[in-house]
Amino acid sequence: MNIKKLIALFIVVIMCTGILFACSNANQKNKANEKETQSTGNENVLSPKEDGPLVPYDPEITVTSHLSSLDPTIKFTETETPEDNVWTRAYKNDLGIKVEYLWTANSEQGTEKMNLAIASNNLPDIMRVNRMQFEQLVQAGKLADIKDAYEKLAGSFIKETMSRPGGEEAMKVVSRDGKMYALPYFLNCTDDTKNIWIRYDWLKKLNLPEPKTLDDVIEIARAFTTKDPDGNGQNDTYGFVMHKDSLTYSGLATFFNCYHAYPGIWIKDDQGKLINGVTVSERMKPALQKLNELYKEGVINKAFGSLDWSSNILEDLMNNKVGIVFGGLWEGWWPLGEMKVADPNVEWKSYPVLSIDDKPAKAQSMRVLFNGFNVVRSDFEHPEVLIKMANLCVKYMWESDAETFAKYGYDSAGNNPWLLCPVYFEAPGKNHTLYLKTVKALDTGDTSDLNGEEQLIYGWMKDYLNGDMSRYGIYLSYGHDSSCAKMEHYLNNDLYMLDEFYGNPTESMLEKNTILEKLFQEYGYKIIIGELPVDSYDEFVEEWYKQGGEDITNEVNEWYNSIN
Amino acid sequence: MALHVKTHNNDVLKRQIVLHLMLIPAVIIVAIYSYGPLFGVVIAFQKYIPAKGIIGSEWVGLENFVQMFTMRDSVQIIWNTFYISILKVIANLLFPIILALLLHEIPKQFFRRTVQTILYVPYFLSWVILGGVIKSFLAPDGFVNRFLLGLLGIEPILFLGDKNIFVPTLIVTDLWQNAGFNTIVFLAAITNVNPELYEAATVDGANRWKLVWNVTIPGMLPIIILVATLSLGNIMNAGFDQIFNLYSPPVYETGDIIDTYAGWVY
Repeated sequence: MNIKKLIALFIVVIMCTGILFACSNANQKNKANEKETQSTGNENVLSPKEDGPLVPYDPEITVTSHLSSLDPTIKFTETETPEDNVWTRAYKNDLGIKVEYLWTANSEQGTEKMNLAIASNNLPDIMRVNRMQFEQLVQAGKLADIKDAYEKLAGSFIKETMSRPGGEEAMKVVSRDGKMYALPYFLNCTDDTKNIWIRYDWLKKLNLPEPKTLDDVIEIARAFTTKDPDGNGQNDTYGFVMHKDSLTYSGLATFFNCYHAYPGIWIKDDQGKLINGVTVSERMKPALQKLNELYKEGVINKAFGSLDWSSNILEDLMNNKVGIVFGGLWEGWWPLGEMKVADPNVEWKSYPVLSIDDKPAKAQSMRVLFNGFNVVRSDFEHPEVLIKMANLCVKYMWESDAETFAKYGYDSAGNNPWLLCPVYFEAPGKNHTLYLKTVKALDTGDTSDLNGEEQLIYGWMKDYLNGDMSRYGIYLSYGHDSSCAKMEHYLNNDLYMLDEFYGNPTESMLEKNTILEKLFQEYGYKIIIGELPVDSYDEFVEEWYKQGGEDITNEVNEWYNSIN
Repeated sequence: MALHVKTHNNDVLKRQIVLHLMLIPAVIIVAIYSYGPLFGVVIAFQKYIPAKGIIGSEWVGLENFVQMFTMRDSVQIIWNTFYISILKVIANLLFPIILALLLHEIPKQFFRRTVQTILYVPYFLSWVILGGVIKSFLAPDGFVNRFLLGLLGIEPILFLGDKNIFVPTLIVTDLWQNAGFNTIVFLAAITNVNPELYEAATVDGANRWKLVWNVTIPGMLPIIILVATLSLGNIMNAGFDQIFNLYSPPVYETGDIIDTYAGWVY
């Protein structure tokens, strides 16, 4: 009996000490890591004279970061892993920087992991954060000032981009009190260009004219619903796509823009004050009225409120059930262009926003849209590392040839290593330039001034014109009369309705915006299915102001007056 | 009942010391991870900013509560939460009892065991998976609706898209997932009823229904009360996982609960 008891006691003691050991080991490992990075850091201070945009660190330094973009869309070859790939090797060989990822995750988990890191004060050395996280970190004083490093070490590409329109606004957003806290990854108005996509082969089959006004589009939608455009003898087609996220502010913006309504963005009213486009009832009501009509006629799928874009709608598109998409630039590349591989008769065509009356329709767009902020944590010894890594990104992506671009950016096999780049910088409006240059090259045959990516896209479009159906989506995006071609139409005729607000999300915005958008969803949905009359939209506007819209509007106008 | 023998406290301690030692790690873990975080409730009275932590965030008293209760939807979501969770508690109590009674009537052990297992399986699936399965089953052109249309000629019912049908759908699918668990507990309780009681009742002229009503159910009563008490803890738990995976704009009005609404406010 006694021996049994002793053994039992012994086991319990081992278990307890085992737990304690595990904890202390983990702590020690962390401490050892910290010491390592600190010690290698100290030997590495280059004097300002010797340093340059791409001067490597010698001896090598270790920089911790994270990858929060490992979505299923990312593809890489067998030899590449998230921890060891073209980018990590480039940083090591060219800049003497060893990059260590504290975590890798897909975009959704990545945001949460970042939030966790912020909450537990366990920040990687360099990070890419979203706008909310950026605000939090700046307010908490956790970011390093990179103004010096930017002035001295940023390459010409970066500096030029930041001084053009779009770039200047971005600079204002990342600077506080003369200090610069991030290198932004941002887009400008041309990157958010609205397009109406129509099944062109159906149009031809039903002998319909090309649309010039929104009423034409609606007639086309009606014909698609009733005249069996896919010819399968069944009454199973409907006009245009709507799904459960269509009634967010921007979900169906392309449609609302045709009625000169601009939900979700800030525009000037007749007194020059800024108001949110969603509150302009006289414009929103006719649009909602029409949607209600079309819903009753079956032009919109009656169950749209529960339909999912990525499953139900995709199925409907692929099965020839619907023929119009109110969207933007990229539906052509995916999923619409893909349809041609299975059925070469499929043709899609994109149109700019078409007006409901005799005034030309404008498309709403962001003045500047942030895709991320590249930041450095405040205690890191080498804040300039951010700038150098950005310079390297620029060198391999935008200042190289097609082969290099295919290796570091994306290639025809579908690999897209650019998603593995931790410090990513792109010129906003890049797609606009891409379109102009590649179409010119298609017309003249002269490819001498195309950079890496442009050459790649040019090559693919040429392939399509020579019969490769798998490149149709690219031609729909960048080719003649493509979705990017509409940028010219909007720019030359001053038809971009720009969001006048591009400041930091205000306090009330952070608190109330989602609730207000949800309110819009509720009212919009009920009006479309006919549960509420169109005039209840006025009720919505009142509620919108009461539930926080008024505070937000005041804060937006305060900001507007302060910068003008 | 065993006689209580008064023993010296030391003896008791000696016998039980090992048991206490074995408990200590578990108690420490529960204290640190379940009780410790309870102090985090102070966040409700702060303007909490994760980067600043609890210590660095500003105290705002009842401001958060005021904001929450003056929101337009507050009454609706609180009502939804109670309504859905109470319905679920009742359904998850009644239905497994009936199921257990029915299962108990099955004579063939093999068949009974198979049905039991099949009933139990959905319990282990997460709502992410179940959500996908149910969404495609109940879609306007899904399995159930095609059956209704084809065999009974009924127009497609928007189970997940009609705010009046959504809550019953929630209850039924939740039952489908959870019934197996409680059924097994009740089955065990039923098998524990002394068979002599059944014989005595049959001798007194009881038919099958009277047997169930007068012998089985009273025999199960302690377990029923136990399970009911435990499930009372679920009164405010309307099932975030399930609702989050199944809801969409048409059903926000009746389907939004406190947990899902919190996602909108943050």
